[in-house]
Amino acid sequence: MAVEDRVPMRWPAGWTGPAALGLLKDTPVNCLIAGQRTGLLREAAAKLGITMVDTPPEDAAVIDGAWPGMRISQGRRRDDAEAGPTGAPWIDSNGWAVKLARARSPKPVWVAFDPPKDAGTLTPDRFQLAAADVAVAGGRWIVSLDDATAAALARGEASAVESWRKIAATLAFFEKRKAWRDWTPMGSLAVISDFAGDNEFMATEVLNLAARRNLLCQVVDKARAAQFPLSGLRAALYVDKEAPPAPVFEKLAGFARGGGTVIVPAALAAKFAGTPAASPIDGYDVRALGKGRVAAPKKEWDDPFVLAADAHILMSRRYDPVNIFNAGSVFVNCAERGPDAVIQLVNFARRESANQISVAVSKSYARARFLTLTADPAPLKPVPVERGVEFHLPPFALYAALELGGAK
Amino acid sequence: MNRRGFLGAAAAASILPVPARAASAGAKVSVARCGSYGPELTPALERMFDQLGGMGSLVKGKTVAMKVNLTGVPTVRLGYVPAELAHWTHPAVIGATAHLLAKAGARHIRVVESAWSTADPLEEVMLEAGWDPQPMLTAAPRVEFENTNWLGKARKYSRFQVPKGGHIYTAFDLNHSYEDCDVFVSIAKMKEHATAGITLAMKNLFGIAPAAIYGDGAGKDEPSPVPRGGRNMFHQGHRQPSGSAPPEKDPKTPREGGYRVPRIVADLVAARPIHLSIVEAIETMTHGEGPWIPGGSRHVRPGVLVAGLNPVSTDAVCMALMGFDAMDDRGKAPFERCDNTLRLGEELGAGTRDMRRIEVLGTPIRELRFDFRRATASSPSG
Repeated sequence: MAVEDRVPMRWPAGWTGPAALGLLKDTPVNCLIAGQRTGLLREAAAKLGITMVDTPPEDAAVIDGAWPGMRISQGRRRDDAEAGPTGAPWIDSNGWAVKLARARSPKPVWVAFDPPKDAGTLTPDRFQLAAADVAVAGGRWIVSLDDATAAALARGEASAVESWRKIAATLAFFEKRKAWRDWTPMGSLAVISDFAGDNEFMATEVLNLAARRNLLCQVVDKARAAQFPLSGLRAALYVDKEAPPAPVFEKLAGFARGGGTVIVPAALAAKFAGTPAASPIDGYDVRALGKGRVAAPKKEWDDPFVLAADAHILMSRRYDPVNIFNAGSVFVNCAERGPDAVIQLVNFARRESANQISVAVSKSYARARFLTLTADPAPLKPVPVERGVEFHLPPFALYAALELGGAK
Repeated sequence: MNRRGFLGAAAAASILPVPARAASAGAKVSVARCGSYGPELTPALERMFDQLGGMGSLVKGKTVAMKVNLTGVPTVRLGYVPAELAHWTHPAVIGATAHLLAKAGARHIRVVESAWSTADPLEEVMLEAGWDPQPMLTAAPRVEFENTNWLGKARKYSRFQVPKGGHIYTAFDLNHSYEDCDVFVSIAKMKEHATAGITLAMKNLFGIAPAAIYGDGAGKDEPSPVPRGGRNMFHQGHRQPSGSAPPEKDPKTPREGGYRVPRIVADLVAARPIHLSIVEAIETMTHGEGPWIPGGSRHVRPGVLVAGLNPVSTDAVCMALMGFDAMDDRGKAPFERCDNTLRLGEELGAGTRDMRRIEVLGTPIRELRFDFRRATASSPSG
């Protein structure tokens, strides 16, 4: 079986016999990471078409992840969320890490993380969120059950079986739509870095915090930047302290001359030609270069949250392809292929929003369908607005997608 | 609507009869029916300005600052209702006002607001809300925006003393835009307010205080470089502004929002006088100042515009239109849990709230009264 088709799961330690393999019947899971197991178990798995391996295969890009969700403050009311630098609830998500891994390697991305040990009884929507958070970014979660759930499942407890059914249905939902992973990510800003060494913190946190403000961006590995198509983008953020290789420099300068905004560290500003121009925000020197411009901070960047915000404003929200309203705990992922696009929304609050969510898109589409993990696709009527169209989404608790077709 | 749209609409209005200029316009307030933010808006506003004696004598050759109300996070809505139809000043009203003031001779117009918890340019805040700022920028020559929630483009803050010593503060440090202007306009949305009972032309000035000094993230000694958070200091009095700004007069006064917020609003209105007040409720919301107020807010269409040269009098007329009495005070609607901002402004010499001393022009109040409390009560969710 090709690695692209493998749907991985970590074999729970408490599942000791082949009988537990029956739990995987009619689920998408077809690759068990089992550590050292008996040949008997492997043979039984093989008969069911399930691959059993000691460790994740090398032809998958495996990264460590975090259990996703809204972080709850200690010592406060249970329903009080901890605030992040945006003032919005702090959200742990693996989306940015999956996108980075995909930018660095053509291998399928698997994300490894286990349920928290101290979370008490985990409801199925926590697992569904874990799967959805990774899937919408184009990866697969190595499904990992906590000991209590795995044991209850092995005992055949009805609630555990029902939970497992929901988790499996979520995996099946995304496998049915795995083609979306290969669509082109939407976003008008390229973030370019080697994402390593001294640059790692700033560059990766920019990705993380850009997601927090629903700033859609293209992740570009510096090693591949010279080949990356910047056409159609509005801005490029070059994060690294070191000057880019000559081909990348030429690419960035050409992008600016063609009308783009290039954002570089203070030390690199002098390398670009151009004439002084007005800056839309305080703290930046901007030079006009051809039809575009180059922006550099007056002081070195030290706060990735501020850098993500600065990049957003230097580019301008005018070029956001998608804008979401009443989505405080919702992260968005957008991709397109030709005239079609898909907007996927993951609601980390795992409950319906008190206020209805609207999605504004800058393009006009002939068709729109709304779907959730459990609801069949249904047509959704666009509402014309000043800067494009909006869609008023029906309530959803955890995940929704807007399928758009026939871009005009 | 673009500049051509504002121009066309105004040209159509100019053929209408112009009321005689008032000898003393201080307590004159104009009321008009306006059913939409479309072509009827600019002519309606122009008629109102004419009823107030025309804008030429006020703005000709002058720099005008227009404080609009963009409260809260730009992406938060009342259900599916865009901000401008519920809790934000509508961009068409901003554009129409800019156009008419420029037509009356205003030399330079700056749209100002202290955007929630950010130093981002106002244009970007508007874009985040789904607006296109361009029609406002081109509604008249020389229109610009400034986010006044921080220092902005100046080297220092401007200090404004409160006449008669003020209720809570003796003076405020504000963004330079409030000093740069010759004429100051408050363009508000007609709404109730969870803490102050109502939010109209006067309460709109709550947002001129920069969060860099008066916000949750204000520096202890000096203003913070960028604004963070809301103005809970004004509500709760749990801390003082940055040490560079004048502190409260008396930290022993009640630490209660219903006591503090109306007084601070009155102080701000007295410190930075409003020359022209415009309150719009073509569409708005009931029950509170924004979608975050729990308990049955409703999107409504009162279809009314109010304008006056005195903010206290303008707000008094607005209250009458909303089904309230500006002479009422704490314990009576809408001041169930707060003091009356209008009375407190009156005490500082900001104007009169006594309807017997206010000349209401245009459409009679009885024809346009829209009972906010009844509207909320009749809401399916309320």
